[in-house]
Amino acid sequence: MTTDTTRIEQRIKIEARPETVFSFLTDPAKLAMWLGQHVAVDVKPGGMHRVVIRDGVVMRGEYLEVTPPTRLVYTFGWEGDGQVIGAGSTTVSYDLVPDGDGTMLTMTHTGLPEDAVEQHTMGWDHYMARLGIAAIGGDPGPDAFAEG
Amino acid sequence: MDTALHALAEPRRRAILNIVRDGEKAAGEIAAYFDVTRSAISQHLKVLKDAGLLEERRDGTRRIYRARREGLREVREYLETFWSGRLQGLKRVAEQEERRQRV
Repeated sequence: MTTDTTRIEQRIKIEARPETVFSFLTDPAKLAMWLGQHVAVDVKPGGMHRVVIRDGVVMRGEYLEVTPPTRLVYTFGWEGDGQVIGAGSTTVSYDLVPDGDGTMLTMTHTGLPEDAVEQHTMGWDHYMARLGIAAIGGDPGPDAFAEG
Repeated sequence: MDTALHALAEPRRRAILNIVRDGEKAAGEIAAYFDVTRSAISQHLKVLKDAGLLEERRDGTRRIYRARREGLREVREYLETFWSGRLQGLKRVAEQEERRQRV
């Protein structure tokens, strides 16, 4: 469980060797089997990637690190409506670690909007304040955050 | 939700969200933070509002904005679902190929 809300981290065990898993992260035909419909990639640091998830939803970014078969890092943004893309606005990395005959894959998506952190901090301040009231014998009252 | 992700992809729009994070600000006050035209900022405000990330209210002729926190939580939830779905797909196809190679 991660507490930093500007990042998402997901870990998955795959019963395939890191070399096999890595090829599915970099080979355009293989990427198209799980990530998106149309894949255009130039897998090298500084190279671009563009993946059409579906009509109007397009991932785009630049490779930062390509280390077969252990690590892949790229910037991630969404393209659409002719708007300026926040190139490098977020970063996605994959770390592959051999695990028996298979691979433990960790995907980390960082650089998500800071507001989420503020929200998280506010949550703690809220609960710490309640704790403070309860600790001196007062009644903190109904918890406004506990709805739903 | 794709609209929200798109809205967040622009650095200036993320900056606007930070400005109205802790309280309301009028459109003019927000525009004062930036070195671009008022109409460019209005356009960003509209994109953010349409994406469910900003709340707008009127005070006479002024438009007042504040961040809509639920919107950001939804973005995060969307991304978590997006990634877990994709990674399950990756696991399936990679394991299929591995089995073929080992036969």
